[in-house]
Amino acid sequence: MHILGSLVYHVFRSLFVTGEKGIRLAHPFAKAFFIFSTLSLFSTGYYSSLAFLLVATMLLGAVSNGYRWLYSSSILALIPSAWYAITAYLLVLAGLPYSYGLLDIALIGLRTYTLSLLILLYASMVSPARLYNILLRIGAKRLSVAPILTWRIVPQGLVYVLESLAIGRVKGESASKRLAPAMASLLELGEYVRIASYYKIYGTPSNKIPVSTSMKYSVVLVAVSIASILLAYCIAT
Amino acid sequence: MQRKVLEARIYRAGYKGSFIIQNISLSIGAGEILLVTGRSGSGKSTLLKSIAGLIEIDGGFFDGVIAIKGQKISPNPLVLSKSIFYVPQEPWYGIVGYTVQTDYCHTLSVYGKHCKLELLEAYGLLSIANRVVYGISAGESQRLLWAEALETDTLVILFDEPYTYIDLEGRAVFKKYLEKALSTGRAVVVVDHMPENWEDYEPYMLVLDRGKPSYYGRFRSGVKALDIRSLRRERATSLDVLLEAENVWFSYHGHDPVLRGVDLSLRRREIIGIVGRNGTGKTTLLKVLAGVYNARRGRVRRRGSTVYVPENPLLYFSHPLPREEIFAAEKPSEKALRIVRAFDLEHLLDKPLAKLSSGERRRVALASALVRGYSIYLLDEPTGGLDRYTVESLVEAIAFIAETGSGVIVAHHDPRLTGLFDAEYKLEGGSLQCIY
Repeated sequence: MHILGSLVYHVFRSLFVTGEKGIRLAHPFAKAFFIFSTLSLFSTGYYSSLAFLLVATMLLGAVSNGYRWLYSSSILALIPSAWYAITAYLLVLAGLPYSYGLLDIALIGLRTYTLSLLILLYASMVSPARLYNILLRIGAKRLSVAPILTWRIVPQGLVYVLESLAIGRVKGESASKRLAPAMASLLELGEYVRIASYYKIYGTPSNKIPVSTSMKYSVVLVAVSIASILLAYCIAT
Repeated sequence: MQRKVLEARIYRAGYKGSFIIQNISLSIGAGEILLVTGRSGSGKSTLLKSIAGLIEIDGGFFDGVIAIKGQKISPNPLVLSKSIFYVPQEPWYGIVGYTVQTDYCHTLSVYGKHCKLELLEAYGLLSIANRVVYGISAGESQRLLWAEALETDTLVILFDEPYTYIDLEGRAVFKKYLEKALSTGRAVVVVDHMPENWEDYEPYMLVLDRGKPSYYGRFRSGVKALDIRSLRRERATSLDVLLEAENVWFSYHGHDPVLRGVDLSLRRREIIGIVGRNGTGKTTLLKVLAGVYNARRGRVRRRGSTVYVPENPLLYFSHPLPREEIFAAEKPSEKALRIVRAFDLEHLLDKPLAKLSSGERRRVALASALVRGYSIYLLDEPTGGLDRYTVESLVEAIAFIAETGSGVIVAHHDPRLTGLFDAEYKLEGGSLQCIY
């Protein structure tokens, strides 16, 4: 697969592959607690905290979103981590005033990788339906369609780009030649949805979307959060 | 006298410097159906967009009057949507929620109604309520829009080609919903290029020809049914295998396998049909056969150049104009010009693809694929939005490319195509069963 197609494919699988299920169904407070505690632990910067966060993130992501999510997210997380690690190494080679050893550079890579994977997990926890309800509750009724529309258009656009690239490949066209029509199909998707669904986008909703909460995932998130807080406390003391 | 639910008088509407409809008057009462028919590109969808108030949103203009129960209504789509529900021909453009449930509940919310998910059961959607909409089939998308149209209680429902992506069983279900809508006093406007689909209801009928009404009145048949067998020419299939699928399995992320051990071979000069209910994986199978998706298990061998023409033709195009799309591969040869004429595309060659009707875009995609001369053709719902004349041209073109040594696989729901194929398979439960 062309590098662009591959990148689009992994972004799609990391962020948009599941519907309203898995970790997305956890209680909002459990999610907030999880984000706070894991970021607190991450900020300690110790190998042990990074190892814990990495294992916890991979396990949570794989159980909730499937191993394909883990595979694609791992590949995406490699991009910034490799970038930071290589940049640090090049700076050392260039003689800039940093005295990083190889171990330090590996730590930079590991920290960036862990944080990237965590961010992708946070993103997969976002429930557009809950955001819709929150916007409705605070009176931003006309804006409430934005989260569900974003989660509808962006992944559909990514699918269009992927399919357009794949069809171009089947037609024997190069990926670079196919890029413009792929983007055009994405823009046209947005325009056609705007026209055909005009009243849905610009109408004013009045009632919430029913959202269920998963006790299982809420408990798992709280458990990981407590473990993170305890570990952070141990490191600090 | 009972007041009409919908009355429309359209002096002129359409796109400046391009296609317009004109001098159309129609009215429809409670519990009635108005069938709008005509050739592909005759203005049927433009008419529906005008009635729904969407034509100006689409960059067009509207000069006319719309009245609901005798009251003139501003042609503002938000005002009209209180009384009129529009279901587009390509159902995926009518969905704004990222899951079936969010779209359904949001739509009801816009109409001030509470969302009762259990009602989705009646539409066969409850089991996929949490599924992302970009993972459901076109037929399932269409059923979602029917559910919304019927549960929002608008007075008028506009259906643009509702049968395009629906299998025969689904059509029977649709009729059940339609009868429910009619029995509750709603008026229904249906666009369909196959009037015979609606004969049982004896609807009023509006026939459009190049943007003008050519007939308006009681349903009249008189449309000759398409006889594919008469178009078919004897053709000996070769023993050369062009495409071979062995024990092919495929599943989407987080879902059960869509394809379970599919075996299929396509020979030179052979035309194969694949049918099956909505959501059974016909499109997925074609994509795997084409190499758009990789089989999770099993093997697909292709011996020759392959082309896949998707049900959404926009994804197929590489150029913004039909002329560039069709003639990109070669200088206009006699064969290319013949195909352009057969698909009635001469007057559309320099019109941007984005401005073409759904049926016109499909014709351009098919013509482009035929001109380029592939060995293996994989066509997904190629007759969607096509009138009988264009279907005749398509059938002749398919027969022609088979005669020249190519192989063709067509996934479809279209009963008009029965008789075209050398072999036909039904995809059910992930495996293919030979029908004949």
